[in-house]
Amino acid sequence: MRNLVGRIALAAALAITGLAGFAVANRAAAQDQNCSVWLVESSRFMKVPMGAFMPDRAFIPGSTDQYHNINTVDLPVNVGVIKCGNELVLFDSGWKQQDYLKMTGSEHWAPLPDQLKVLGFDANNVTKIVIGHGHWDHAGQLSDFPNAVIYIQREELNGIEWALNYPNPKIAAVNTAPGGCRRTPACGYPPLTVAEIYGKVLNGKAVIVNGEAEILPGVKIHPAFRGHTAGSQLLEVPTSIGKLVFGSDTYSSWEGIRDWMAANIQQTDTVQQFLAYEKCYKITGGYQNCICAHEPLSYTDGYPITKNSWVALNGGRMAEIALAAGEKTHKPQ
Amino acid sequence: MVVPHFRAVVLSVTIAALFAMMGVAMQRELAPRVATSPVAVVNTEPQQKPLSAEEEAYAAALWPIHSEVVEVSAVDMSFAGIAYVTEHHDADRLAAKVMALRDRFRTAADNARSIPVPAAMGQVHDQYLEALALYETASTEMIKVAEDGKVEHLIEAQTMSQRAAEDLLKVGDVLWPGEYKPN
Repeated sequence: MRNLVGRIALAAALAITGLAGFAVANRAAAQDQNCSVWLVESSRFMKVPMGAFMPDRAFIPGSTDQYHNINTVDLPVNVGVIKCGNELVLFDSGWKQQDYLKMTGSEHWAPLPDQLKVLGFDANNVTKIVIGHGHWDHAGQLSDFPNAVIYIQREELNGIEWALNYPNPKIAAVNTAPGGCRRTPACGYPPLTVAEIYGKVLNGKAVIVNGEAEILPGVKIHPAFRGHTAGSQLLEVPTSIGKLVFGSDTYSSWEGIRDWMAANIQQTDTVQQFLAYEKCYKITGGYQNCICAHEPLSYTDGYPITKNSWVALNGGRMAEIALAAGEKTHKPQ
Repeated sequence: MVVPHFRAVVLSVTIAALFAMMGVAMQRELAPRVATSPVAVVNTEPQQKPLSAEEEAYAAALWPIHSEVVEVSAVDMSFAGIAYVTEHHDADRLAAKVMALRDRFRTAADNARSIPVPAAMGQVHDQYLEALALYETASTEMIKVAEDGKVEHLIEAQTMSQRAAEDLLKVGDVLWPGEYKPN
């Protein structure tokens, strides 16, 4: 009888262990649909006049109004690093500083592959790069990710091509002023950036997207046409802290989304920018989880979702935003 | 007579412990390695002296050629390739488009050669003309796809175009610093 009790106890123990293991594995599988997310500062554009960034917050000397008392802002260039299972995805790819492209007034640049390295990732393992828009400071360094497939909207390409072929050379020009182009239709797309995009196309490493697309389970591209450029796009990412929406320059300013103000007007239709803001509210349930490309408060308590941050290469900052089940922190301890 | 029951308990505890150890080991193996090795700091300080009046005049004379012809044609060349690969697959149409661009590069080079070049700008000027020559060669290479349909011509041409694009930026860094603003 006692022998029987012992066998039953053993069987029960094994069954409980097995069930526990199954439950853990099942839970992990269910949560695998969540992604881990980090934000990396590719560089920082220093002392940009507030009025150039957000026209409705232009500086008024002596003003005590919170919307008019900031003269200049330092704008980070933020890149999203997203890990979903075995897939490593970038949202935007920053720009590449060279001895011939120093970008006077820019600081804290470091090569994106090196930045990924300190996060514990290998640039060769980046599988996808979603380009929020094709401007040079967001679609650079593509050649440094040889295995990555880029996702760009057809509408973005069409918008540039339309501008290039416009009969008035002042409108068609890629750049209209030696000191920097002035928000003209093809402004911001230098030959090198477009040549790199073309290189990806030639090598079979590009997906030309038409509107919506789900690139991984729950990871969805949403068009935000004319939200910043002709073919701007957003990326919805499921995480343990809820859905995030990356917006590149359509979401240049998080305060802009919070306070419903236009920001970083380039080839922008502000109506479409506001509709893209609304998209984030609808998808995430508010403005906290909207991930912005140039928010000056990034990596501080002022932009809460990015506050779990640290200083990394060359003074550039990084933030750990969300971890999927089983993913350990990548923040240096 | 207590022994069998005791054995069963020990056995089940051991199995549970083994599972736990396996779990911990797997977690450690799968955890990301955070690198701590230092990486070189990049010096971003601009080190450039201002242009003289003569050099400014040269930069101003070259600017319309650069901004309204060369940059536009270079980007257009990439777009011609993108359209061929992703849309129409019509090699003759591609060749016709690129031939027109090649003519634009040639004309731009002729016009650039007609600008008086200050002595200090000789090297920059040569570099600019070399970039235009590279674009012209790349155009010729692209056009070959109409002869044999081989995509290798496009790949070779794209490599040349990318190099030429870098050369344009090098010249731009001297003549028009700050040409590209945050976008």
